[in-house]
Amino acid sequence: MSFTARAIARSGVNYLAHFGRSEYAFQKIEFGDKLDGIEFLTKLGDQEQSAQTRGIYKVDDCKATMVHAEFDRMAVNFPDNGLGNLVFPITITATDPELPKGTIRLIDCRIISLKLPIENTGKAALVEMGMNCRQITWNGKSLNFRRNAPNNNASNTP
Amino acid sequence: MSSGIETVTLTEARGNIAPTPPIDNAAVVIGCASSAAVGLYGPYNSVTTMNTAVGYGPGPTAAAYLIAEYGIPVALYVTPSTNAGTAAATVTAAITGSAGGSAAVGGAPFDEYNVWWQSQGTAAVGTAMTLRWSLDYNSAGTFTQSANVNVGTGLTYGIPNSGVVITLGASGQTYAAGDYGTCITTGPKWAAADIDTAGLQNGVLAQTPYNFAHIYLAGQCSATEAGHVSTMLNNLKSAGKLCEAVIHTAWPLVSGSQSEAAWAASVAADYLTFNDDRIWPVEGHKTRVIDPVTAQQWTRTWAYAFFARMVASERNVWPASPNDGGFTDPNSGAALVQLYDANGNLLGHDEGPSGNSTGLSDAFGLGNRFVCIMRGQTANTRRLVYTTVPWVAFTVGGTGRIFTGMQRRIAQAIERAALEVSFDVLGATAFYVTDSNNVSTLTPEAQDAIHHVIFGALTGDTFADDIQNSADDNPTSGLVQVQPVVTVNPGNLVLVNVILAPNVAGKVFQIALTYAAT
Repeated sequence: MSFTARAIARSGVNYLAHFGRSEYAFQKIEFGDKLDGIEFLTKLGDQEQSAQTRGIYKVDDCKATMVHAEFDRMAVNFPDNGLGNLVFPITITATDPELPKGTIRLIDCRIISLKLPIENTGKAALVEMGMNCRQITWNGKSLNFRRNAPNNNASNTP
Repeated sequence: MSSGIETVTLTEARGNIAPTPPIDNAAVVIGCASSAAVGLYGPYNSVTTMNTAVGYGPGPTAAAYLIAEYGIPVALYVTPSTNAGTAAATVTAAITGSAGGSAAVGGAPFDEYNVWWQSQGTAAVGTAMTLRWSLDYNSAGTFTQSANVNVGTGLTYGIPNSGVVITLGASGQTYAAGDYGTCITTGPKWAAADIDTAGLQNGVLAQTPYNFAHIYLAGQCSATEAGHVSTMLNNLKSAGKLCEAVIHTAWPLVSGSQSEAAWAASVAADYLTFNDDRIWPVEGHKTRVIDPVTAQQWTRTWAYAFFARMVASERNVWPASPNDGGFTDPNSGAALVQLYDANGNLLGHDEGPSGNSTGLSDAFGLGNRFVCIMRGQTANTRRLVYTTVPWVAFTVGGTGRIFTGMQRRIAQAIERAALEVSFDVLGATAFYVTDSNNVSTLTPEAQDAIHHVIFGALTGDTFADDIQNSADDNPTSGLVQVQPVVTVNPGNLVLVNVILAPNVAGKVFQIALTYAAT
């Protein structure tokens, strides 16, 4: 490879987010997933943690903020009655002239909260959306085992 | 003030026009019916309501099977009865009285019947004769009989709801007590042009808002006629309906008593070069099919029983396989289709190891691809009937990858789900760049977003049992592969080519789709 990944840090300018097939301007998006509820076992007469359970996969509630007018533009594509029930995909694409493309997929998302703090200052009014998500894949990889997912080119070497 | 006991009459409300079932269970039966004009009727979830609306015949019989046996609403497309039903010229009459030489069966029968009528006492034709009749006669005596009917002074008797008219004899001719006659009838049939009419792209089937996935064509179908079904499926697809069809072949010729081997060779030769992997050809030899509405034992093709079971099954289930219990009622375990007649003699075509003549289901030997049945291989299961491999009419030696009906159903469902997202998932803009050679390429973000929208429709629980790579989101080798180069038409209509590569039962299909965007 001709690039040195560690020398280039991506920033917010490298990311674009799509809800469904449409690109929208966000000020900030936060998401994350984890393996939760892992139990470590310790044997009698031992002080070390030994075996551990696989845990349960969970996706944190995602947060996104966007300017009010952009939210209105996006909301047009959602149903009037029950927009929180629409399940849609979110795609985060990272591009850089010198780095390979990175794709993060938030599969089966829903908007579960909306908040618009308004104050009489020079600050922009930003809609804060809370979303849930069923599964996240990071460039095709996932924290959890997934049924029917490939394990191509798997490497156990970090 | 009135007095007495109030009477409240309760009637079954079920039977009005039924709600549309889920697409995987939504079907249309195409066939002749006795009292309806050409057109689409239903869907119905009541056999009585359907019969009242359209009458009787091969079409209603097949639709009734699905409603009564599996409780699934079904619509019916009524074709013209271009070739009217007929009664065999020969009436087998055990009539010792003087009417023996004159009794005959006529009319325009609505379906295939084994007609029987019997005088219930010594009687003279035209003088208050009492008889019983049946439409599913067998010599073992296990058929259904009507109650006694007083014919009065009539010289003929029309069996209700059948189109069959019995000429009892000349006036004054006699029947001894117990004298009876029998006759086999054939049902009406459409002509190929009628299938063309049904399948027109601007026809009622293509344009109806009733969305369906399965078609059953009632009536013997040659390979040439099956070609008309292919055209219909093409037209329906153009109108946005992805369907497959179950048809059945000819049954053995009655005239000349065509042997089973000769019939099988004839059917195989007819379909040798017919290829359409959306069509399941069922071998058409007659069997004993138990009517779920009336319990009559019809000597007819089992194709409509197979169709009903297929529609009622999950798309990845092999209908009436040994694992599915064969052709038995899922609740009672009673046999629905039998390869033995009422006397215990082998009837129909057993394609299994116990059969007399095999090869129709031998796709890789003779190149024939028919759905057939066979008997169980043990003493306890010998009277049960199972399907052999449920082939579709795939291209022998060709490049087709869909060989069975289950694969076809899954592929149709995948294509349907993938196509639907172009309309109902957020947004429609596809960003692209055009280079100096006028080649337009999607931006990486747009390609990702389109990929994810389609992938999102196919991953997860919906297809987890069907697609072995349903969670493979690799953009170049996974389930969904969005082609980066797009075609930009005048008006900036962007055509995006997408290849779906689902791994179904170990075989990777390739489904090419084109999406329009702006």
